[in-house]
Amino acid sequence: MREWSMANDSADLARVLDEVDAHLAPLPVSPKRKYAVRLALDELLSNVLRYAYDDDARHRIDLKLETGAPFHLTIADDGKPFDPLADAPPPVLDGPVEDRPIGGLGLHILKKMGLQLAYRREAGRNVVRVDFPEE
Amino acid sequence: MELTVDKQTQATIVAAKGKLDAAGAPELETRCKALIQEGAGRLLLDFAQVEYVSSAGLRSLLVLAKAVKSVGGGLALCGLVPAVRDVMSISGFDNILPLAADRAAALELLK
Repeated sequence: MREWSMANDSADLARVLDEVDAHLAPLPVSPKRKYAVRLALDELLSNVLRYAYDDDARHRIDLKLETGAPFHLTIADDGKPFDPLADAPPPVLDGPVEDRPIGGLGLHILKKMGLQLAYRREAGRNVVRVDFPEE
Repeated sequence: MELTVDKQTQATIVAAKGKLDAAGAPELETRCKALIQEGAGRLLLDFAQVEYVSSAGLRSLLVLAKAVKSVGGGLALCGLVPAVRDVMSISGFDNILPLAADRAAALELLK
């Protein structure tokens, strides 16, 4: 189990994503799973930065990555209650290009990749656990 | 992102390198929108060296698809690595953006 903390800004998100990549690089993890880890963190944390906070204060977000079995990650933030499974709008994937609304895609892609997301509110924090499909 | 522009008669080819994510997407979008404004209606994005695309990247591809459509042009992608191609098909973007194996095939799609 490896842990990281980050602040709620995009520069710190970029730092953490690269640190997680570097952590996974020497491990026997498939390229597909490495991509899925980065995408899950990128999409979920981008949502936290965008929607979780109404103030301009600095907040701490904690990540944990377990690369043993079961391979999973956990994200915890102290933003307002937000269940990405229930509260995110579904994406629109049909229809002509010019009619498609932009957005709502990130979570859809994660679920279609077979990632299992579970949300709980715990001690004033949003906790999202992501389990990755067997390989 | 690293972007290399090659203006040809059939299309303007933009070779991208790096990650098309929240940081990279605005770079690609701004550059391509400027090219469209300069008259490049047919855009070919060479993604052979794009290793990662997030939903932020997909959003900018959608913006660019709309932009070329509004000037009566076209947009095609080529050379996608398997992981990026997976994201394209999972999201349904392979139905709205023509994907080709290489530049020659993509230029055919833009004719």
